[in-house]
Amino acid sequence: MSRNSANLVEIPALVIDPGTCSTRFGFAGEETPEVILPSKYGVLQGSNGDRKNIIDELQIHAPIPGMEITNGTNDGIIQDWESTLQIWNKGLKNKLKVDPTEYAMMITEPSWNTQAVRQQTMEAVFEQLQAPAFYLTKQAVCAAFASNKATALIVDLGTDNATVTPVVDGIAVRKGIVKQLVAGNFLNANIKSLFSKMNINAVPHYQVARKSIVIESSRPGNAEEVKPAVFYDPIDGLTDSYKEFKNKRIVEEWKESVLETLETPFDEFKASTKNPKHFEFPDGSNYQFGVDRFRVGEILLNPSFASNDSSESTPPENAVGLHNLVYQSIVACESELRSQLFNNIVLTGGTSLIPGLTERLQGELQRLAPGNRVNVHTSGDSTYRSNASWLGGSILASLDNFQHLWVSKQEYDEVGVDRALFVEKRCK
Amino acid sequence: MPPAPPPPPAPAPAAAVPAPPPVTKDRSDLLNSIQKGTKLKKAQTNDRSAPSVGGGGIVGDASKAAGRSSKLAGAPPMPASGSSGSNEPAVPASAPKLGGLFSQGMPKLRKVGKASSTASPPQPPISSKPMSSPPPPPPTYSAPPVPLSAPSIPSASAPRIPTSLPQKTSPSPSPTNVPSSPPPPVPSAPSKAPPLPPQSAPPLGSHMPINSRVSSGNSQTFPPPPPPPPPSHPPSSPIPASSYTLQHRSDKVDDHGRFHFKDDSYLPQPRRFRGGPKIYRGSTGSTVPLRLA
Repeated sequence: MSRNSANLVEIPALVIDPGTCSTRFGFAGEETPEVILPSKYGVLQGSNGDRKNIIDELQIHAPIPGMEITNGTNDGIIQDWESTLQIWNKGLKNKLKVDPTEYAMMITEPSWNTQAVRQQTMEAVFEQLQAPAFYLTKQAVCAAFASNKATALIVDLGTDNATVTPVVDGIAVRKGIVKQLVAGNFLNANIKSLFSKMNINAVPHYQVARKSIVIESSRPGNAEEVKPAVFYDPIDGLTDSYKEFKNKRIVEEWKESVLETLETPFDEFKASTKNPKHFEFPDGSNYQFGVDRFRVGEILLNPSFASNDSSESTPPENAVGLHNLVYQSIVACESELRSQLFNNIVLTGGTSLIPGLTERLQGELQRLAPGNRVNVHTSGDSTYRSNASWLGGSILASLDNFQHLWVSKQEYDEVGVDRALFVEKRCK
Repeated sequence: MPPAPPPPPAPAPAAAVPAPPPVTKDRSDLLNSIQKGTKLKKAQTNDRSAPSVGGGGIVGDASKAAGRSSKLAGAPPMPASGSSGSNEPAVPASAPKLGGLFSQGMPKLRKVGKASSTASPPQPPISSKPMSSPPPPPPTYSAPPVPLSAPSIPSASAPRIPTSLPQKTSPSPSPTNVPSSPPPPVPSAPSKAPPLPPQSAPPLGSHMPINSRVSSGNSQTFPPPPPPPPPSHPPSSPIPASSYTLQHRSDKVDDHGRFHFKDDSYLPQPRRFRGGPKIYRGSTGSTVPLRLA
């Protein structure tokens, strides 16, 4: 809409990338988001019965009796707008210290977002945040742009979902989108099973007053003295969701530092030749993890390795290995696109940072498609990988060639109530 | 392996799916500018989404985050400076426990063959090519090999001692002493040394979380953490230059049994010298000899 473009080029832009695990805020044109806030928030029942949302990212970690931890975003789609807007306001006004009325807003959405939520997003931006301009992009398309590609197959390993989205010429190909619930959270459940199998009682951080300390003896040959850990008195009334939240933190630290995938299909002997890694739990107890850490790492590529001992650690029906998921997505697209997609696979998402995963995926895919040249691209840097969709939004919003595509407040007012189709049309 | 059962249905929106727009000029301009790439400004990221290993807080520039994570294997998103705002007990969960081995700080290791009088610089001239833009403090490849390290010990990474890959057999920095004879008989010829290091070398095995062998966008190459030094044989005295021959090799130089050398007699005999004016072939494969006299 060129009549507005003169005004819009002058307005700086912000990029908000909401996800199930965390929400990223930052300025368009910058390399990384300046603020990352958790998407989880606390809910406290007041004394007079009303519920209060606790949006503070520090306070949700405090053991407050009766505080539940919930999430306003589920499956990547924003469900609860009240808390989401509170988080956005906190991110923009408190942390980034900007006035939303002066900035154009680029918001990202998952490729499987619903029309209703799209409309609600636009309304929230124009009416609640009172921004002058708005655009909505798909996270997969942004991830492709972040790798400087207009056509790519985006494999996003996130918290809830592993999704594969083919992006062709900057448009997500709907029929090729596949997803399954074998991702970060599923790995967490299996890691918890591993701990209980090894009889590890993982005491969460908030209960530990002091870790157990090993004091070496002054003379060699004497036994070391072990000072046991000191725990706080248990606090009554802590909610299950809070405890779950805190236990998850231990599991995620383990995931970030110990988990690894073999570069070839899992083989007991091969895994045993790799160095074990040790991990220290919050109460100071140390354990070594050898073959087991590769066993857990195999789950993404072979869900039958899951421990199946609880409903969370059992893979969903129809779950397949990640390479199979990718293959399904590609064959759902037209044949002329397939070789280009095979050649431009972009791995993104925090869970994709597991060492060995990229090489393994490349190897398995090459075996599934020997006639095609398979190329799995990854951003070398971990911050780029987890923030890939934010980064793509930043790139897009800062391009000159994009500026005429913004939806202005004026257009929004003109459209009136018939907004759903308007969003579909304008924000591809 | 046949493809798995049909994909789980992706939730489709209620309305009809709009067809993708024809690629107009505007759109192709946009796509072209995306593929060309655009320069973005650096920003400081304040990541408060989760207290990660070592406590949450401010991660520096993305490049600094990369440099840091290359030192601590196995912990990719490693926030930099401390726990501004984090109120958890600060000990990182995966700090290596060496039982106070390095409690006095990193020990200063002596150089190999240090008594050598030619003040040879710690970097041997046959060393691998210098890394052009190394990420913030990497162990450099130009350190002399085997197993005691020389100059640049990155102070923060504890037990890691850089070794240079192809030079395992040559013991000291005094190859400068060897004037015209070939460099120490390293079977992988020194000319191979330059191309090898930048690729994360397979034989060393790697536990690097950010392994950019698969083509990566930023192609930052991180040197893989070398294995811990073998139970070392410190050379007791500087090795004389005369030992750099095939004959004396076996008793002076430690090669870990990796290379098997044959006697000189196995080499083919050189041509007999005849003397007199030499007759060269003409160019382009012609057999008519040139008359240059």
